[in-house]
Amino acid sequence: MKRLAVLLVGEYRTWPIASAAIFNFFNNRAEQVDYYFVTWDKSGEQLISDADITDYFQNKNLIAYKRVPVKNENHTYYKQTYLAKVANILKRTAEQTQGFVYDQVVETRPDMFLRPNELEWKLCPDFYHRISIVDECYPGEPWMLDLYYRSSSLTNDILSNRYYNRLSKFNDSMNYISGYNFENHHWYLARYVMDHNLISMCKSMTDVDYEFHTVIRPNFPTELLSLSNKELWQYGEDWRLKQNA
Amino acid sequence: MNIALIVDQSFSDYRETLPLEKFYQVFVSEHKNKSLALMQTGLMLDQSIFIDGHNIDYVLYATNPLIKWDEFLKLTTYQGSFYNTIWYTGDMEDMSQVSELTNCIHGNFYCAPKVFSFLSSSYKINLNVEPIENFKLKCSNGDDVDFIRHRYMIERSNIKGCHFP
Repeated sequence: MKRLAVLLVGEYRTWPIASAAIFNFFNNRAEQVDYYFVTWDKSGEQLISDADITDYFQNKNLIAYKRVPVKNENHTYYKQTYLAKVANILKRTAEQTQGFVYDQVVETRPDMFLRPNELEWKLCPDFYHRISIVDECYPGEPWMLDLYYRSSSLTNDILSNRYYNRLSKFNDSMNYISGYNFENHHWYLARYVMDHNLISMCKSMTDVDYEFHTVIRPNFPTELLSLSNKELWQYGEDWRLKQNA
Repeated sequence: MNIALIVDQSFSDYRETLPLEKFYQVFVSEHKNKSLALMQTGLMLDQSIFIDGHNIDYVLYATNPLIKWDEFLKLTTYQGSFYNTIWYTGDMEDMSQVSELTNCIHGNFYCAPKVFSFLSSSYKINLNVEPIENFKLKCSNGDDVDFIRHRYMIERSNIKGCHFP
């Protein structure tokens, strides 16, 4: 693959911890790997500066980044999808001004821990994607599987419009009409993907781009990231058992 | 209702023929090629909404002055499929000889910004892959690559096309 765009989209959170693993995951996947970073200007109580972002991109192709004032939306879904749209605009701007189209685009979060596998990436044609498997999570759990999308540039453009996944400007109106409670934004994302006939190329739970991936929550003991996959999974299971005890 | 007008170089006298005061914003492409014009104006539109914070409800892509304003303003009653529908305008008599969608795409159309954003990326569609080779056979004017790309994007991504009204 010649050119890969990695869109890092979401709250800043544990980017300083996750960044090394993210670069290690992507850097050898294309002849040129371009990064885009879009986050809120505040993460918890921490104000995010330019340096909080750029300092971690030494010798990397950070094409564009943006700190967006925190948006007042009713649900995480709309916050995340708003940032995803901004990142997509930055990517499309680069494509138009330089006159090219990315071979593949990945959208994921800046607080994601990704461990590469040895498998060669099969390129996703237009309207296909390779999506992460989203697991159930417990409130307060120090990790969880989350957003990872690889697709063609065109498919990313379609995905980035999921902010509009509603009937009116008032976010909750769709739920009132459909009768569903808006509790699971992963479900909403899945519904958008299905509505627009985007097809997964993953044939099984293990047919994914990575050997291991998880969001690194602030309460995650980072020394565990050096453990094997099996040990990491075991840690998660033990954590849940402890919560249920 | 905030309506954005989008025109390209094929409609050079739009200032004289359209009521510009009715539009919240006007985006003009420097391209004559339809795919490139959509690419450019689609990005302008998204930047206006998501970077600059403007609130745009509808987009009118205009190629000629035959716009039915009264009917257009009734579109708000179509809320049920607001965000996934593209409304075409055109003279039904003119459509008797060609496919309706063909005529509509080459005429004026209305849609939500989301749908316009979809169309603006259709220039990326590779016409040389098998599904699109087959799709070309369905198109009455299979030589028009812009039309094929737009129509494929609409149908493949499940955007509804409605003649207006």
